[in-house]
Amino acid sequence: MNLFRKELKSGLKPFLFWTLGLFVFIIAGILKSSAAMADGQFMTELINKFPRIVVVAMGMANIDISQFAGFYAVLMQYVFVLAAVYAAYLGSNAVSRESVDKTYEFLFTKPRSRSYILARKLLAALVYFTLYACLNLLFSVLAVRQLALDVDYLWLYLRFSVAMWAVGLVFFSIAAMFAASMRVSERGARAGNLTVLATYALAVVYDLFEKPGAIRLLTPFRYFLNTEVLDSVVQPLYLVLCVALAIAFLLIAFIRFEKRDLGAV
Amino acid sequence: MGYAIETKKLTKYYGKARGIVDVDLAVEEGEIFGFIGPNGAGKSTTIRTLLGLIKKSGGFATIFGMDCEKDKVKILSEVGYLPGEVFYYDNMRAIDLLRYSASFYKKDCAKRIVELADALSLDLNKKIEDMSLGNKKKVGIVQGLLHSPRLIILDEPTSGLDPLMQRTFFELIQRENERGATVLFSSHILGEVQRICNRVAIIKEGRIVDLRSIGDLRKNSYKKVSFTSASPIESFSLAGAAQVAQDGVQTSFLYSGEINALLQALAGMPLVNADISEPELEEIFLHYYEDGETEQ
Repeated sequence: MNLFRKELKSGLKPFLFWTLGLFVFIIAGILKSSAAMADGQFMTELINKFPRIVVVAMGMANIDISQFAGFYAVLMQYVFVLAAVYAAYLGSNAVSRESVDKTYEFLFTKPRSRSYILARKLLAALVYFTLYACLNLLFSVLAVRQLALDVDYLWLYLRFSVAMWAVGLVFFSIAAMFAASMRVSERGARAGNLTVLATYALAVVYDLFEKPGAIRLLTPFRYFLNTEVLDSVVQPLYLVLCVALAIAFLLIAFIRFEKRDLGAV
Repeated sequence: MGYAIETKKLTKYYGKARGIVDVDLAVEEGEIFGFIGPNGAGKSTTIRTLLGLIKKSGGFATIFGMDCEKDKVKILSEVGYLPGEVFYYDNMRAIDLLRYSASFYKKDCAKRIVELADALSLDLNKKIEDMSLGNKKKVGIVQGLLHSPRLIILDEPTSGLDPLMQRTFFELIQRENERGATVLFSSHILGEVQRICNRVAIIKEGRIVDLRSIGDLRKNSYKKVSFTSASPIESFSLAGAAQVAQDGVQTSFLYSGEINALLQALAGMPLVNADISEPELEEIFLHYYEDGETEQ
């Protein structure tokens, strides 16, 4: 059994757990959409009565949820948060699992460089996150099929899934960087989760302003705006930015991991 | 013949906390080298620095002439390591873990795994999470030896092994040594180091305080002597006695020297009871500590 296969095997259970969460969330969410669409007028009026901050915090700013696409976009906003937390877990776990389980003395005294081992661990984790994004697409197709809509939204699901993967990739690499930089792995994992929380808060702040300007650059949750994705656009610039950020953060993770002391934490 | 392990002024600080300071070691190829010291003395820190698990703060360390940090991967293909506490992937069977371990080396280790498991009476099909500490240790021994390493590093290897298994373990290590393997044997138990080592380095508070051959150590080995006399003995003194403690009719000390001289001295006293035993390692270290103070 090689390292990559071993990592895939050990990541399977958490993956199934997260996948189940995604499945339930999407199925339940999409099935609810029929109710929202049936009472579209009422829902729109109701939302308009809410203070703007509440509408923004719920991710419904500038979205018409009486239409299926709008409802799906709001649902995806929450799925993005779920995906970001899973991605951060994967990144942090790939770096610090051996230290947490105290198996580092076994693995890191084998004739392989730390970078070799970390690369395979991160790659296995990335495989799971990519599968997670693919399953988002699949579950969306399956769930919407129950609604028997007239329009085929496959490209919409695909655009959101690609965007979700790209945003998750950033959190994955940030969490890996934190985990590699901090001696106590709990702190690394906490820093990863706090980043998700802080950037989500920034995303809400972004939605509050008419002209938020550069705030967009600070929060991956707004790299792919719902309004743009609904308009058939996944900004290539932000796709490139996500990949570039991921490469930069992972590079730092590798450098820090090579230099740090390994130990039980 | 070159050195299997050589360190010069090897130093490791954890922030401001002392790990090891100016550790000089020269382990010759083919020897069994003891590394002894109380808990927290720096044995594991030295070993982890040699294995590249932690980064040194100063000095240098080589294994088979290769730098422990730059040539780590090459070095590790020649090294077998058994840590003091073994932690493995619980959901694996012993055989799965050992095959996984073997997959990192460019040789077929299947036959060797079975041989070692047989010698240690290890059930290879048992899940690691269901194993006792002793059996987990056996898995550790097999994974450390399965690739027939040139250098075997053992860090407190006998903890968790029953006396019978300890004997088998020492036989295995001696066989490996006869095959040509160099062994670095770290322990806080003087007796087991004396049992198989050629030379021993004594580490205390991060520094090497002595380096001796086992023959030398035996010759100058300390005995712990305590006796009860019929009446208090005023200002007891004896050449070779250290750490003399007197409390009424009770006297105790560490003795280094001719055993006949000791017995003659004791025979001249009004003894009620006497006990001569092996001192605890801590007591020997107290002796080193006192010597250090005297020098200062």
